[in-house]
Amino acid sequence: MSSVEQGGINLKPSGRVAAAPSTALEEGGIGQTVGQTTVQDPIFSCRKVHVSYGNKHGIRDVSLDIGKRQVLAMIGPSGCGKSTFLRCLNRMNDTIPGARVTGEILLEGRDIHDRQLDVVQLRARVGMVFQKPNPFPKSIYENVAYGPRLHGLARSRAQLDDIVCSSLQRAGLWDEVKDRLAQAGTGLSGGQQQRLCIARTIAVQPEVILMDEPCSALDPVATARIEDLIDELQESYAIVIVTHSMQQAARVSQRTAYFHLGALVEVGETDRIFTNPRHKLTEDYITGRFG
Amino acid sequence: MDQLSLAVESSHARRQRLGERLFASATLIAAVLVLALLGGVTIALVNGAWPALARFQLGFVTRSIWNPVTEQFGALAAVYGTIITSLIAMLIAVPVSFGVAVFLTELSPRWLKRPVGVAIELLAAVPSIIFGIWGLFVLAPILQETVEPWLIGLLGPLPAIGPLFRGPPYGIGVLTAALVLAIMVLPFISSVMRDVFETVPDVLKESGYGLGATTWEVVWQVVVPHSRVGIVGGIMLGLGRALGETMAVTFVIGNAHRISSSLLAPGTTISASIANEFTEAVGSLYTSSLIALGVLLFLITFSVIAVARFMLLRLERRALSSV
Repeated sequence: MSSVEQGGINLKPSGRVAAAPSTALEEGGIGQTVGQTTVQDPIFSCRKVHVSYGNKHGIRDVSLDIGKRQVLAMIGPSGCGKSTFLRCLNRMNDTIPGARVTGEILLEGRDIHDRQLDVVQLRARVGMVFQKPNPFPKSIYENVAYGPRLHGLARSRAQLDDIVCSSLQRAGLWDEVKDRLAQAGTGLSGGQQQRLCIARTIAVQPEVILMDEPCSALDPVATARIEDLIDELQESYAIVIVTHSMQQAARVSQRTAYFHLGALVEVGETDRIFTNPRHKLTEDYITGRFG
Repeated sequence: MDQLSLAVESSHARRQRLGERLFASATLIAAVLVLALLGGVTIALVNGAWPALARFQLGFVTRSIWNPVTEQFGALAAVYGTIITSLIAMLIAVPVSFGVAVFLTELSPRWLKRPVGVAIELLAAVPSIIFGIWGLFVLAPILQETVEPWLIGLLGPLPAIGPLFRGPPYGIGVLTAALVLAIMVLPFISSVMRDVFETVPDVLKESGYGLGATTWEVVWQVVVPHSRVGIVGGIMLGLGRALGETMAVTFVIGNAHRISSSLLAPGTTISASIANEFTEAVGSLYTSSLIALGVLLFLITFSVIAVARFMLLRLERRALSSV
């Protein structure tokens, strides 16, 4: 299953890690997370989150808060567990056979693994944008209307039209597609498709948007547009973005979390992380010595 | 030296060209052979069926009388039996296959996937004669003693569909044949459906789940639209097999050339009639009528394939233009 690989479980004990400097063992290797893991009035509060696939470990002992109306960037080398952690937040790991998630993840104080909690409702509150733009093979209009229809958000056709229009506007796509809403969403360019996917996500009016390397399949111009969009969306949503680009993390986020080998190594204000990293591994990564 | 290497090269090139030409003509012969076979079968069938078709003309298709003694032959009962058994079989097998495929691709725990998948493939490998004896000696008595009396009591008195479930419970009959057919085509349809469901990209399903869709919503709104061409193909494969199935049906349908309003009554199908009566067909008109039955079966399966092609074309065009 390709999604398993995207989930970042391929911990490669050799390769990258072997290339890592021996100073990785300073401060006892990857021990306690360095930096401030908690925030005031968090929307997500995660404690000791542990994910395993069969007998492979995805992430271990990750504790991290996610603040409202801010962007948290998660960086780290491939297979470090950042996508796996992201997929915990809307329980997308449930769809992977053999995945086991332990620990506590609270969404506004409520455990998302609570049996009483409906995973469908959770995913309506916590939207997700994927690495590859993946619009449904339907019209542009239907792509955006899909979520509101599922959750019965619109009482009339006019209301649905409004939701579609405003979602496309917020995603910065309206002007480009307003004359061809009935055409296939798959006929758009890669960057447009990704903005369509963002419009589709915000049409459900989520509280949090998870983005799993949303720009990795896009060219620089399309990437810049998505980054501008993230800046705007941040005024209304909590955004968690996984990225391979440190420049992107520095540009769009207020907080940055650095993952390594399934552990959360360091987290803090983005400016602080990039100017004054406290953990040796973080420093090595952001200065480009490995990863 | 140069000349020598040139000579070696050109002989190599010549051999290569020759091989290429041989290969091309071999594939051409294989392709033409298929056409020739199809043409030959058609000619032989029509030729053999000609005496009966010339004698009874359109009456061969519109009459249900089948009397070898007076040499009166009409195929309507067999055609009706062929179509009705296949339709009922599809009515049962398609939803069940859909369920099997959805379970295997979306819901099944991993440890159960393989056993169920292998069991389905094994079911497809059971020879039809086995289904025939099983139908006759196991299924028919059960139907006769319990299921059919219950159906007669429950549905018989109803106004619209009542007549379908009236009369004595024979055990063997149209319904029994349809049930056996359903079991026989089930593995084909479900394995095709499972395979096409598995081709739906995970990213597409995840975007459905990511928006808060339930498994059912993802299956119905993402998986099925994405794989509808394959689904139609699987159904047609099953239908084609059901229409032509001979041995198992001959065992359990009762082989009576009549059209009864009740599904519980004995009937016959085209292939069952041919298999059942060929050895005892005396007189050229009788034999010719049986061959004419074969022509009809050929036409029916041919139109099923044609309709399927047409539907697929329309689906593809719709998928291209409107979505």
